[in-house]
Order: sequence, then C-alpha cells, then structure tokens
Amino acid sequence: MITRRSFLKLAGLTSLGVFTSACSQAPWLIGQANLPAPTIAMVNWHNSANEKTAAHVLKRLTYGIRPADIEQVMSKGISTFIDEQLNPESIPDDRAYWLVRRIDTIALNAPDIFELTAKDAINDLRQATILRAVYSERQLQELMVEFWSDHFNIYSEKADCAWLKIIDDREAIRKHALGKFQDLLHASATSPAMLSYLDGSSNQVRKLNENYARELLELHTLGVKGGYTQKDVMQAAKALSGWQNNQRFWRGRVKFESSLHDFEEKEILGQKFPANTSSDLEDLINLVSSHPSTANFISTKLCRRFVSENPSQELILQVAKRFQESRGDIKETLRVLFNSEEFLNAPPKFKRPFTYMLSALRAINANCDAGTALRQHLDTLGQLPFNWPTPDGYPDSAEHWQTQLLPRWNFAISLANNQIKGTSCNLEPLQSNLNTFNTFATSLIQRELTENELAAINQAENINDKVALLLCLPDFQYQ
Amino acid sequence: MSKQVLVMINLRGGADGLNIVVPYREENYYQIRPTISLSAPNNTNGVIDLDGFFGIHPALAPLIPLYKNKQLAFLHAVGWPGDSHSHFEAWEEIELGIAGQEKPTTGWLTRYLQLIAPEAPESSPLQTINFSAWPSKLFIGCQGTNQLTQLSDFRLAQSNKSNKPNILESLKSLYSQTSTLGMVGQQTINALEKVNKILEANLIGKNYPKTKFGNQLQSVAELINADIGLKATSLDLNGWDTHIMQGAAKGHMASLLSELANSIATFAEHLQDKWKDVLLVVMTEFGRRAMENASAGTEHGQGGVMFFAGGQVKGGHVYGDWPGLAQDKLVDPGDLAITTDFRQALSEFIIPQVGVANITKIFPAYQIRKQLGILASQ
Repeated sequence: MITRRSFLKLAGLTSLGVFTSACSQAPWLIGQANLPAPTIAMVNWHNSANEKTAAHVLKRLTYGIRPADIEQVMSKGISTFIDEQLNPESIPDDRAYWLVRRIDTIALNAPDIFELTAKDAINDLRQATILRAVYSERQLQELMVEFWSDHFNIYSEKADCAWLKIIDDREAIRKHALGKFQDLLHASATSPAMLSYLDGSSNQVRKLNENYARELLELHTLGVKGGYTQKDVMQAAKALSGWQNNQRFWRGRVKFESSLHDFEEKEILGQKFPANTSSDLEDLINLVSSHPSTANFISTKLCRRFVSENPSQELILQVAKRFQESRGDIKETLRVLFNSEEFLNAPPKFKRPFTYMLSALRAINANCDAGTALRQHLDTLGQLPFNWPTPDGYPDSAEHWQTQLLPRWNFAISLANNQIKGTSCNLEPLQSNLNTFNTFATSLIQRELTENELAAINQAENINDKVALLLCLPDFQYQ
Repeated sequence: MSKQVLVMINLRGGADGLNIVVPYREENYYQIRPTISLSAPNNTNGVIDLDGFFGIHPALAPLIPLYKNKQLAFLHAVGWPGDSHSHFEAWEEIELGIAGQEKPTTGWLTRYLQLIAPEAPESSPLQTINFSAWPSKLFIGCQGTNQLTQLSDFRLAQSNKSNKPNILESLKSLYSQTSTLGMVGQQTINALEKVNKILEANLIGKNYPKTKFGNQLQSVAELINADIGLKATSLDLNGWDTHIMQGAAKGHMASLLSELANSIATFAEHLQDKWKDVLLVVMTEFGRRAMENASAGTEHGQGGVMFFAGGQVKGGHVYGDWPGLAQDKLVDPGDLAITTDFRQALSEFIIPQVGVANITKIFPAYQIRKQLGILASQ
C-alpha cells in the first residue's frame, strides 16, 4: 500500500525529474556535491579604509565574506547593502531557493510529517538551514533565524520536536525573523514544537505545568531580573492552560481546549486578567511583549550578538527605545543598531562554531551539500542546529567557545584537503603565484600576514595545507 | 600537597532528590506523590534501604557496594538558597560560588585550585579538564583548562600529503602569542602531544554505558590511570528537568539514574588503587517540587541531593538535617527546604585542603557553619 508520504515523495521526484531534464542550464538542481568545485575567484584587496569598513559590515551581517563580496558591497555602498539586507524580499535568491526547494520535508505539515523518521526530519531541516546559510543572498535573514532559533530554542531530541521544529522554523521563526516581536512571540507560544518542548501541552486547569510560563518570562521576554515573581509564573501558567497539541488524530496540530483552560481571574505583573475570557494567551503575549524589561532584554541580546559581549548601556538604551517606540519592530530596532558608531567600530568578536564553519566554506567558495559528513563536523564543533538541550539556546560568549580550538583546526584541515564527503573546493588558482596567495590571505584577515605567520604557513608542503593553516589563524576565529 | 583528584558531576536540569534518596518512612511522601513515588524496601521495585528511613532508587543498585564499603555518602536537603527557580541563574551562582553577591570573575573551582596548587596550571597540560558542553563557570579564569569531549576524539586530523608533525609545528608557531586565544592554542597543542602518548598505550576496555557520559567518565579514569597530573574535572549528565512523565521505578529518570550508577561503579573499579585519591561529587542546581504535578512530573523546587564518593569519604551514611515533608515544613510554593547550603557542602572537602580561614576566598562573604564531617579528617 502506498502511504501518503511515499506518494508525496513520488510526486516530488517526478516533478524534479521534469525540472532537471528541462533546465540543464540550472546545474544546482542536480546533486550539488557532484559538481566540480567552483574555482576560487581572484580577490582584489588594497587594504583601504573603505574595504575594511565593508569587510567589517559583511562579517557582522553575513556568514562570512566570499571572495567577490567586498567589491560588490563597495560598489553599491554600505548603507544600501544594509538596507537591502533589512528587506530580504527585495534580494533575488534563486540559487538558495532551488537548492532548498528540493528538500520537500521542510514544506510538510503535521500530521503528514510524522511519516518520516525523526532523524530524517530534523536532519533535512539542518541541511536546509546550512544550505541557506552558505548560499542565500539574504544573509541577515538567515542570521536572524539563527538568533531567534536560539532565543526560542527547541531541542530536537525531546518528544515530537524533531518533526514539529520544522513547522516552528517555517511558521514562527522564519516568518517573523525581521517582523514584529509580538507576532513572533505569539507564533512561538502557539507553535506545536514549543508546546511540546516546554510541556505547555500538559498545562491544564487545576493541573498546572509551569515550565513554559517560567521560560516565557525568564528567557523569552522579561529576563530573570525583569521584575516577575514565582506567583506571576503560576498565574501565567493558568492563563496559558488549555493550549494543546493533538495527540492521535491530527497529531501535531494545535488547539485551544476550553474545558482545560482555567477561567478564573488572574493577576500577572500587576495586571488583572478578568474571569471567563478566552483571550488570556493573547492578553499575556501583549502584556509581556510590550513590557519595558522585554525591550531591554531583547535589545541587550541583539547588541551582544551584533556588536560585542559588553555593549555600552547607552547603545542598549537607544536600541531598546526604538524597540519600544516601534512596538517591537525587529527591522527598525536593527536599523538603529547597525547605524550606530559602536556597531561600526566594534572590536573583533569571537565566531561561534556555526559562523566559523560557514565563514571558512564561503571564504574559499566551497561547494557543499550540507550532508551527513559536514553536519558531523558541525556537531563536533559544538553547534549542530536544534541540538542544544536547555531552553536558553547556544551561548553567545567567547569565554564558552574559545576553549575548543581543536575541532576548528580539524575542520580546516579536512575542508582544505577535500576530505569531507559532499563538500569540495578548488584551491589551485591560489597556487599560481605567491602574490595571489598573499592577496587572498590578506583579504581573509584584513591585514598582511606577519613574518612569523608567513614562515609558519610556508612550512606546509602544499596549497591545501597552507589554506588549512590560514583558516586556523587566530585572527580568522574572529568576525 | 594532596594528590586528590576532584571529579565534579553535574546533573543538569534539576534532579529530583526526593526520588533519588527517598524518605520512604515519611507518610507525606506517598500522599504528595500518588503516582511517581517509589515503594518501601522489599516491595516489588521498592527502594533499597540505606538507614531505615531513607532508601535509594532501585536503579542506583550498582552503587550499593560503594555505600556498604563506606566510600559513598549522600547529603539531603542541600541546595542553592536563591528562590528564582531558574536553571540558569542557579548554575551560574553555584559555579561562581555565590548566592546573590556580586559576581566574581572566576569560578569557585578556579579559586580553590589557585589555593591548593598555586603553581601555574599552564606548566603542565591536562591538569584541569572541562568535559561540560554547558557554558559552565567552574573553570572561568583557570587559564590552562582543556576542553574535551572524550579522550579518543582528541587527535589532530591528518592532511592528505604532508605529515602531521608539520601542521602541528605550524600551529604551534601561529598560536605562539600571549593572548587568551594564543594560550588556549598552546595548551591544546601540549595536550595533543600528551594525549597521543596515552592513546598509544593499550587501554583496557571497561563496561561503561555506551553513552556520552559513560565515555567521558571512562576518559577521566584513563587520564587518572595515566598519571598525567589531573587535578580537577567536570562532567555533565543532562536530562533531569522532568516536568512530565518522569517515571518511578522505571521510566525516564530511572534510566538516567542507571546510567549514572553504572558509570560511577565502573569508574571506581577501573581506577583500582587510584580510587582512594579521587573525590567524586555529584550535584544539581535544585531539587524539584515536593508534590508531583498533573503530568506525572515535578516542577522546579529547592532542596535536593548531593553524592560524595571516593577513598576519603566517610560514607555509608545519609548526611544533612531532614526538614520533613509536612505541609508546614515545605517552603513556598511547596519545595523541600534547604538545610545545608551548597557552599557548606562543598566546604566539607575544601576546608581540609585550604583551612577554614581561607573559605571566604572561595565563597565570598559566606559564613561557614559546623562541618558535617563527610570527609575523613586528614
């Protein structure tokens, strides 16, 4: 008997067949890894101040500089580039679109999605996530997806999350990544993955489960010192009771079960929630998303991510003010941040592992299928998406990440030596003459190599090891 | 100087102390936990009696020989005195060694190591190893700390053509600067060279659970057995945040406890003579709410359980004042009270090493009380 899923898969394959035969000029439709790696483009780099500013902005708004990026940004102007990135729908993105389109899992809904194995489901989403990070021109959109995926962390090993995270990624995180915080929070609060991960589905009248209510206040909105009490947590749990995932029929679809909702009067953060209303969840989301502590908490996290681990209080206040005035408009909030002097002059920031991997792939124009072998490296590096167990998301601090250099060195060596199945690079053009190599090296870290560094790198016998060592440079660990 | 190796095991998520060291003689226990309680000893799936009042979860059976040999002790109703019920605030403060005070720039373990081994740990790699993937604060400020996932993974990748020493030599030179990252790089290279030697030696396979935690505890034993000067290490066992369906004698929590117990029992056996030099401490950020919730789980609570094991432990005993589970003994909103501060508990082994006068260097402004005597005086 043919299941609904295998039927869908069959249909998908058939249409892909049509595509591939009709569009031979679109080689990315065929297995990306089977292609010869694109040769690494010649880099122009003169060490000018403008180039350095462009490089700085690229390092913060993208997953790393590709060989041709700096010239492009300089020709369109930095403020135009920032503006485009804040409006991703304005940027053509065919390549990433078609690459990801082939992964039909990420378009599926519950309950169809349960016909996959949990492992296939979440790995397909990881593959799509990495492919977008490598190939999408809408880089800031992808960065913000990562930011919110941490903020509203879902651990794929818990309950049904391996499947439901796919819906969460599409309908909550991705949809609202540059939208309104309140919409994002509402989508997350009613996301089947979140209801499963933080046990909201088990939260019922007279049978309260505080897990989600606590993290909603502590991690998603006000922050641990944001001014709520244990009583607020318990009252919020009451307000959220009755929101459930279907279990059997329509598994993975969310419903509000009024018989399981606590209709008593509540008081949360000093605000009365009258008895017998069924809009408690909306009222609570409105209350906490517009709370000044939330503006401060979200702005602090954004400044930490995009500027530095210790952003100035002035910058945080300025960003928080815009967040509050724009009623949580993420795009407008980021605009203030990116236009600040502090952002433009921010000191180097230690790359998190995902950024490190992506920046290496992009720096050498590697081709990759984001397959099992690459994801294994990402796991060893410590930042496989959707694999962080606790609801705080992957840490954003050099202190945490900089103790783990060995996996980075191992990734660099394997990448430059073409040892990662499904990932390939062609470094030969760099071999042609010393000048080409030096220009490439300089563009990578935006300064000349020191004599000591040059000597160390020249100890290597071939171009692959030389590039591996460039990717191991202490300076390349920073963005 | 003491040869003692400190092994910290962190049960991340808030382990339910009441179902680990179970007060089976308290009638209240069964009333507040109608579905997840564990029955008294000698019943099917009942607890294993410790002292006529407490019994341990049956999944901890592999630890009974250690307890009977007086090398394992439990401490009940212990915890971090903050009341936010937040995993993240609790761990941060515990690992910094504070409860509400201004945040120090180093972890308590770092300050402890600075007192007992004032020579710079950089002088020799692998003296302090962090296995924790959590953003732990324990080793913050302890420059020479190595981060490992497991010992057998700690190798440099081979390049295609050139030989490995080449790349290692180049890396040595690239990371020769004195920045923090340079130090980490040098430390990594030193450790790589040392671990290579350990891995070359033939390692005896042991019956550790085939899990990340089991592998890591095995790695710790191999490092101790290789005599490379390990002083302190920290490992995580995750998954204790049991808001739903935590199970009782069987189920989610039981399988975690079984992983924990089998790992520790195998570890002690693997170490043989060296077990006497080890102090193993198991702790968590908080215990859980005394009454079960409607999802057959438990909410975040306060008082929890700690384990102490090793050659110098005065084991075979459950330490701590038992506050009881009567309604008026629980603290809001229904948690087991804390009768021993986590800093008091850690002082049990810290004081014999550094003296009572030094304790506020490790736990700022903390007023130490009378020792419980969990460790044999030295």
